[in-house]
Amino acid sequence: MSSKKKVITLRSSDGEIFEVEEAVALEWLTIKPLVESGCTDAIPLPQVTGNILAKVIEYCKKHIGASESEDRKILYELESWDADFIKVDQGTLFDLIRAADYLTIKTLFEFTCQTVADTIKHKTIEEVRHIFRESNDFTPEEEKEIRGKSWWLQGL
Amino acid sequence: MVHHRRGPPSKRPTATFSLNDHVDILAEILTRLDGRSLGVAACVCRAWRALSRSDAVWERLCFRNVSPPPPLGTRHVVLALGGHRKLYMMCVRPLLLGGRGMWSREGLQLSLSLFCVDYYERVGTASSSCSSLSFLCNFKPVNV
Repeated sequence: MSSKKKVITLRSSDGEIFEVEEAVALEWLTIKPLVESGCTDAIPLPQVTGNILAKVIEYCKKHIGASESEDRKILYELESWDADFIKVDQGTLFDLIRAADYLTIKTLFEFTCQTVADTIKHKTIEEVRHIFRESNDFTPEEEKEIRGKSWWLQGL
Repeated sequence: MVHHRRGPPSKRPTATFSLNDHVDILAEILTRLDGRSLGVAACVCRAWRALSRSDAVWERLCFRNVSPPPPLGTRHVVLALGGHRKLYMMCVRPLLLGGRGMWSREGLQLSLSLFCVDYYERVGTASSSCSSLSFLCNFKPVNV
């Protein structure tokens, strides 16, 4: 039998315990030094809840090794899996971004940020405000100035 | 991989997440937009406007898909010649649109070259004072 893969124990902010393979934990740059130092205690992650940590682990397990694959079939399958994975409510999506940022997981961070960016594309100002629950804090003068002309074309 | 539940089940945080409280994350998201969407984002509220106008966001937009990234010195040159928003709108975006989103090292060099040419053309038409390279714009044959 092959030797058993080393397992790292993680504890979420709400006390859930998770076990992940060392190879997965090494992709999380924030805890990488701890993992490399041979830490055997449960690593506390006070900024990530259990339900989000479960999603993060699910994503990283799926992606480890597969992202670098050159097999088009595998990459296509991964893309399709990603599309299903990210069908979450906005709160969960933002929690995933924060978790990926906190744990420094580059692939998940880029993927989740891109997903949010894609929801902004081809939308009107009002639609974006509505989606992100941002209120219009411009003065009437500023509002007029902004709407009157495309500022990003000015001075070109 | 198994995991063991301990303690109460996870609850959704009660506080509503606002992107405005996470400026770094908002900046990351904005750099993944195209120029037009970035213009829309700038009109959402003051915080978004401030970020959308920062040169750093446009710099990321210009060089996002270039590997390896341009050398550090490029930033100072682009800033001196008018900034990354100008570079994007005038020289990067047209190339991206024409090339179906492809972005190569050669494309980057071409857009930077065009940007320099444009800058010196503007210098030549807007001012008659001597620029170090104004002879390029006001070239006259010299009889020897």
